[in-house]
Amino acid sequence: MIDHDEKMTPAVSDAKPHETSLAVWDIPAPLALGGWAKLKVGVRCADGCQLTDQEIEIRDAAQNRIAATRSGAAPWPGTSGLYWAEADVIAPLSEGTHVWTARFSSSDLEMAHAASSLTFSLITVKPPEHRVTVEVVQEKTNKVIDGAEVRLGVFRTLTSESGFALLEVPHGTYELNVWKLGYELVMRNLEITADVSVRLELAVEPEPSPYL
Amino acid sequence: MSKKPKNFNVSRRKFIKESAALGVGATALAGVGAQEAAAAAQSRIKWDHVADVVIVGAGASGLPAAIMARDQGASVVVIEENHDIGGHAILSGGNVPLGGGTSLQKKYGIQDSADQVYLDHTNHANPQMRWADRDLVRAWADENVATFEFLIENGVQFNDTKPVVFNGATVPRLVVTKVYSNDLNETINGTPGSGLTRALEKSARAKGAQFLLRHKMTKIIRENANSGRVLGITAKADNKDVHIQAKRGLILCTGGHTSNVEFRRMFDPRLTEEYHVAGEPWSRQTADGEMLAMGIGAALWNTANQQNDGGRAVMKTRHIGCRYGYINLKWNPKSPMFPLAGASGLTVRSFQNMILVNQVGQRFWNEVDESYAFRHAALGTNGNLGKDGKPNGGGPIWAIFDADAVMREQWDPNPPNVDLNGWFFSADTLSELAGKIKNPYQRVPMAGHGLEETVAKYNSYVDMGKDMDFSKPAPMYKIQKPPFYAAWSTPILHDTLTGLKINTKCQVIDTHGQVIPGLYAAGETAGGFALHGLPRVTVFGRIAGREASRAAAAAVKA
Repeated sequence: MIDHDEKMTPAVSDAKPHETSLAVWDIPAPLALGGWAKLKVGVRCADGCQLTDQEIEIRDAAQNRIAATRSGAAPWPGTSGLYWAEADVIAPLSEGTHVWTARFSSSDLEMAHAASSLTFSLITVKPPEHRVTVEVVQEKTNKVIDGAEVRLGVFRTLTSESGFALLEVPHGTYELNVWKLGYELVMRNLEITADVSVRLELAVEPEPSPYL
Repeated sequence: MSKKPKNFNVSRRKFIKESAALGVGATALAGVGAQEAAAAAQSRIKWDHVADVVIVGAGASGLPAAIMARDQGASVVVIEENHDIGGHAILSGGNVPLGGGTSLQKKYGIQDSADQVYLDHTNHANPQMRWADRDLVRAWADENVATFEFLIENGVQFNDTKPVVFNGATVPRLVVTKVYSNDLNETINGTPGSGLTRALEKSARAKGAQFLLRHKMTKIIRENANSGRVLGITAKADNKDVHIQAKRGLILCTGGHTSNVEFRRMFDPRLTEEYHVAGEPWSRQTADGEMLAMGIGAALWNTANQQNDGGRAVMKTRHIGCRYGYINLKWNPKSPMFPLAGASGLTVRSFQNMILVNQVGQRFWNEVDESYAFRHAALGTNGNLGKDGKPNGGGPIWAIFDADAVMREQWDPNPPNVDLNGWFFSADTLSELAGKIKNPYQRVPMAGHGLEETVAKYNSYVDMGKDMDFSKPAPMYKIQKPPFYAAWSTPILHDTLTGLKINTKCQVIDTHGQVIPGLYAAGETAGGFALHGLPRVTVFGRIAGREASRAAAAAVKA
């Protein structure tokens, strides 16, 4: 890994710029219309340069600048050189899927680094109107299943230790999916017009055949 | 010079004419004179070993053949190309669904019959069974009980548990052998198949079968190129030719063809070099038995089984990030073969935790699909327009996942679980990950932007809860948290489901429908019946050993 700071020997003018690339993660989903949210962005130099205190901006599909942040001093845990930061963003006011771009272009590094960008999506929803309570148990034994994924359209949560999950959603027709590793997926169509409770039984997934 | 008898030529012409009327190939009768010349030539072979029965391959068909031949009083030589016995069987799960009313079935009050075994294995609704040669299935069904008891008599120990139903059968038959010992040098990978093979080896040796390890068959010696009886083989050992005479019968138990790219592509041109084979690097299914037998006129049989999506010819990889990721064979890091195997692989508990992309970084199918539809998509064109002279094969398939997936799957993405020599990569970003993928079968480098776009699209489907491309049910998890990983997840090949044509005595039949005298085949080398694994190969191995030892000895002297 090469460490760079502002006192480094100036770059040779015809040296090829270092390649960079980006990552964006921990994007909350779904986002409330116009709501505040935090997400994480990171930048990596292919040659391992220490890209600390570098600006990473976020632009929307119309190229409006949504947010900007500056990378921190230490790489993201588990990476060798992804310098990262949190960015505060405001979700769009229209409902649906939005495509944004994270962008890095260095201007204050001694060694030239190529610009890079990464598109990512986020999803926004109308304010909730109704509560949906989902109880998940194991088929036949009625044992509660905690930590099951409960997906109601774009809304999602996990069941608690008591096997219950609570989602607040706008009215509408949804596909309810409930699943946990080791169990078979259960799907139901639900029309939500009022608060509702649902009880689902999951079947244990059969073991794969042992045969060789 | 002596005169020939008066009627010599007349009787010879009559003989040939009458035989032709019976449909015997003309080449089968090269003439008495030619046969005498060939016999004379063969008699000049200096045999290094002589036995009544010579068996090629010391696996789950060769070992029962050897024991049975010894039980019949025949002298037996078994050659094996590997440095130890066992073949694929020693690595197997030791699952032996033999039925018909075995002692273990009776112990648990299970009613069964040879007729029911026959019906279950000719069921037209079962794609693995419907294409079978029913002559062979009948012979097999009738010998199920005898073979099961034979295995026990020869030291094979089964778990004493109630048999269970398997593979669409109507009666519980599946039982499992015990692992032979705790010694991985003996069991190779600590699997129950060792309990079958090591026990049978012990019995075969105790009964006087001679084993020649590191001997690879290179030639089948027949009286004539495509006529006369089989006399023996030439094998290579320590780079020298070794000639072994089989006075009564030569039994090919060489384990099938799946490792031979040219041979397997006869049935499926898609199966190019990138597809590895379960059981390698310990044991390779090289088609040597098939090819040498075909070289002296043998026919293949029941080839439809090899690509009818009925069995385990092509399998979805379950242990990713290593070369050999067959679901039921995970390499133990303490196995003596582990340095060649490379890694154990990361065992996938759910394909919800990753996407699978082709070598150009695109998804190609619903990742949780376990059916042949998935495998066909994996073997599809996958971005290859066929213009560079290598259109066949689906190319490498890579599992792409992130740090969150590693946590959910409880993986340790480091050696010995993953093979860093071209089968597993990690990087801080997706773009960098794509650039790092360097593998001998990767035709073109994977473009960083391409992989980024694939993942961005997939993540949007996760947000929506709907896979708009491949209908993966309720796609659950985004691939977003660094670091990122790419693990070899290319389909892996397994069963040989076709092979040489045999009759119910395991005699090999030529392309004219005639028995090749002195030649037998059993196990995955033999075709006609696509039932996977140990029940088929042990039964036919035992039959072959019995029939070969009962055959008349060759008239040609050593």
